[in-house]
Amino acid sequence: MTPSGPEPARQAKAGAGSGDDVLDDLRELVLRLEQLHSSQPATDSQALPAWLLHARQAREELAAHARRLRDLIEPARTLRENRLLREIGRRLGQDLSPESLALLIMDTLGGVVPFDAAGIYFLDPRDGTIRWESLRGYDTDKLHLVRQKLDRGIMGWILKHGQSVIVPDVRVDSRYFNARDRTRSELVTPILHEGRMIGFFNLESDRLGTYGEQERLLMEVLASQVAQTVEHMVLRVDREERRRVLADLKVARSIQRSLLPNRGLRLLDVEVVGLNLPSAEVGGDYFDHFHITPQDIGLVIADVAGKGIAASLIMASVRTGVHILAQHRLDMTGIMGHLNEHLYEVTEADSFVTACYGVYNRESRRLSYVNAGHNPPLLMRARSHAIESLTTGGLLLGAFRGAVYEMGVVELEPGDRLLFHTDGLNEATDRQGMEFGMGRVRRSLSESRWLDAGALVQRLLADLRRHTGMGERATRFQDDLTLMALVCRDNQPGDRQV
Amino acid sequence: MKVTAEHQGHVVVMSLRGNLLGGPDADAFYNEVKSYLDQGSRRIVLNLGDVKLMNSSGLGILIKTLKPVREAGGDVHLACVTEKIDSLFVITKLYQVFKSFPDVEQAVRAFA
Repeated sequence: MTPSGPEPARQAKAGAGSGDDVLDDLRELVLRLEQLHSSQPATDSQALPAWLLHARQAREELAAHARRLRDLIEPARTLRENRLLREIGRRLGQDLSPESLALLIMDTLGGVVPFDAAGIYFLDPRDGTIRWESLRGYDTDKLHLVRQKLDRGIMGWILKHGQSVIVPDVRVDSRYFNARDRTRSELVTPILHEGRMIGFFNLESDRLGTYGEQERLLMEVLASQVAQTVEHMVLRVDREERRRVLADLKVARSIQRSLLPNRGLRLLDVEVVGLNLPSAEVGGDYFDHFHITPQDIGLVIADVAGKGIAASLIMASVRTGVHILAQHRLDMTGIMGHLNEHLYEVTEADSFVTACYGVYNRESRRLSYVNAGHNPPLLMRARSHAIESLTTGGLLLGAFRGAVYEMGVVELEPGDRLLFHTDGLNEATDRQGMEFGMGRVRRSLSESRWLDAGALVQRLLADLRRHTGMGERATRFQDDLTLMALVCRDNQPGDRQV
Repeated sequence: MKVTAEHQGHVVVMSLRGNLLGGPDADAFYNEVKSYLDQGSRRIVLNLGDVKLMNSSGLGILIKTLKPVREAGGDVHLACVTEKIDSLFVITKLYQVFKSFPDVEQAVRAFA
């Protein structure tokens, strides 16, 4: 070591600021010596003055020290960053809402890696779309463009590839989608949990080349630090949502029950009993019996395509429509026409409803009906034991505009039995996949000639339970199940409940 | 469900194999029909001979498919409808809107 080496400079600067400052000073000193050196004519070293030879030597030694100092500073920087990351980890230990968690991470982010605009995104594990996000530094009127970055920009690329991306100059990267004019460089880092991408960071800087390997590594460390917390938060939120949805479904089920008759209609001359067993909390099947006048009983069975909440909402709409239209004494084909147009308006293109609406007149024992694409109700004659299918009507409801419906009329006699059902009956399968089928429905009906309406419904249910192997008390099958039986009795019309 | 398609003149014949039960399969099928429409094909034959099961969602996707084809001035012809699926079309009275043919050849020829 020569006396004119870097030792004095290092000593002078040591303790005066951070290692970064010392390194910067050393770099500057080396640069000045370089300039001094290059200003001298290149001649044989023998001819150089002694001070320049010393300066050259000093320059080389300074450069070596600068390298050694960098080696010393790097671990210290890593240590500092690790402390920061540990601090984040500590704060993340709490149960936070998705919004609070995103905000906390964003607040911490600035202390780790520089940015002028940034976003953290949490993905929905069910479909990979963005479930929550927190953004900083974007113009509020351009937030819609930030959204488009998800499909088209580098963020879209990372969604597909799940790897960090550094873009030193966004102007020359074809993947960049501009949602912020000032941005010059970008870093996108996935948040991975057990190899699955659950979110990602997007950092944008107004300067070129802000992000390098070191920033990438740092963001990946941060991402791994928050991954566990994000996953924990997503699972917790899912649990809470499920609990809330189940509570809502219970309420919905209770409302739906209230839309169905709570007991059978048992008159001296006719009785009607129905049963509805949804395959989930709520379903898309509907049955109804109600007095339009003391003599006319409205009868409805309907099946909304699909199951669950959406089907149950349409089912409620069908019920409202039928009741309003029936009370206005609209003719039956007109009622179905109106229902068809209404459902066409309110349902999706692939949604439809099959329904059969009938009116039983107690004086004449005549049943008028319109079957809009529904499983034909079966009429079993008491006298001949023959079974007739009631098919007259028209197209299923809600799928096509302008459908026209016809009305069918059948005269009933005492002892005749009428069964309305949804396809949850005939399409229910046993363990081998064999359907209950219309043959078994007809056989069960034939063997129920002496049963009243309630017993007839229970007999069919018992036969179905036996076939499906679902157990003697099963109340849920693969599909929604609805049955409604009407039995014409031997008495004259009377309005007294028995 | 698998879908294979071939052009027979101006007619696209799409053969469906497996179960037509709604869900992503059905959506993919619908999008394929839409892409043929976008390419200018408006005459579509659906060969349902190898469709084993179809539920109301499957029926819904056929209805959904028919609408844009009709709106574009084209039509969807059904071919080789099995007994089980035939009964669905009979009950729902969808034969009022879908034309059905015993085989693909007749379904294609009916467009002529």
